[in-house]
Amino acid sequence: MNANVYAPPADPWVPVTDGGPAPEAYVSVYLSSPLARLPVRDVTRLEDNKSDPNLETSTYGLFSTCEPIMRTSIANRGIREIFFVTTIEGRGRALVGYYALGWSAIVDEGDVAFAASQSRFVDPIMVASLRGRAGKALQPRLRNFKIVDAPTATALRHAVDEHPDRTDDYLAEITRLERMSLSRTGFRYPSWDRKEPFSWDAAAPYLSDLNVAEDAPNSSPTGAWICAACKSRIVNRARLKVCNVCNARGTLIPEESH
Amino acid sequence: MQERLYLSHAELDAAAADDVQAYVADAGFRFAGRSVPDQGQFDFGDRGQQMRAASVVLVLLTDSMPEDEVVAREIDASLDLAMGLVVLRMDEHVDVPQHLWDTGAEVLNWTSAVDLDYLPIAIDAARKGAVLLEKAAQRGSGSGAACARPPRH
Repeated sequence: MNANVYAPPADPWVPVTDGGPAPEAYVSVYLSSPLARLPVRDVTRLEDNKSDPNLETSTYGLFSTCEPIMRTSIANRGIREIFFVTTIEGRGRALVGYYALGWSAIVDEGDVAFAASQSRFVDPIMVASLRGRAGKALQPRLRNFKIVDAPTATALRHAVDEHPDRTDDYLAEITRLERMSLSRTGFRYPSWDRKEPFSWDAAAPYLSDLNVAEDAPNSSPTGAWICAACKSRIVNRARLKVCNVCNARGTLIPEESH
Repeated sequence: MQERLYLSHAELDAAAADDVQAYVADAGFRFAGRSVPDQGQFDFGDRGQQMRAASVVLVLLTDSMPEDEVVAREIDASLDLAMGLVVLRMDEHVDVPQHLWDTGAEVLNWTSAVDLDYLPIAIDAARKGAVLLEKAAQRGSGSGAACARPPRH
């Protein structure tokens, strides 16, 4: 299989509109792994294995249903940068990197994914240590995401750019956690029934054929889902885009409402 | 609570293991046993019993280790017993053997002060990871499939 069949600039990816001077940016909070030396996404989170931010493909929202409101807003506002923040156990909240967005793709009705043209992840910069606009923007309580203005985005970008790029080390840590999970559970992502790593090779079921997904929320009261296509029961706290069993996309419905 | 450790090392590396044991004990960790114990040092019975009394296995990676069958068995046992696994590489030029690499254990360099500072955190994370993944394995996959460790090579 040619992996580039699914990677930008291939269809359905389209360049993120360059509407002149950089507009606002988003700050996005993600759950990081308490098991990792670098704060990579929480690959091994129990019954909720995380796939975003997906550094392997430099994407956000391609494989997961995370933060649909933010992704829609990014598309609507022409935003071209996401800064990533996470809480590190025992240390506090840290700014860890950014995506400069290069492409977007409508993967399903009302569901947009992004691919970065550049990504940079660094040793965590503790939010408490940030001064000026960057500190002012990130030090107040921040739940999932927030918009920051262009000067603040510039300050955040400078803060990250001052540190050596450790994106490859983040990637190595993700694969280490995947190996740890595989050796102990037989799956890299047990709640996804997934044995393979994420890559552009894995993108086919997520990008092929624009789909009209079942209208369903992002979370299930019971943590369980029923696939409208194959009737399998899937346990994962967040809604998965693709059924673990039949690979159909957009078919999972909260168990309670089925 | 400080974790109790089991020190896994090749028979030829007993002297290096003594150094590591002394260093890690100074950091506040207790040992439940090691691959080649000094007589009388541990008041437990065989190696299996010593491993069961520990929560994390600390493996010494040296030139001798990849060929040592006892260490290979102890690495396997650490997975069977849902124990954490941390690797201390005594010489940073030694490659991590495949069966150890596949476990996803954190590999720290004995010659790196930064890595040694991180060792207590790595031990704690390894123990937490083992407990978490044992829970995940017991619950089965998202579709309810049994979680089984891959066959060993």
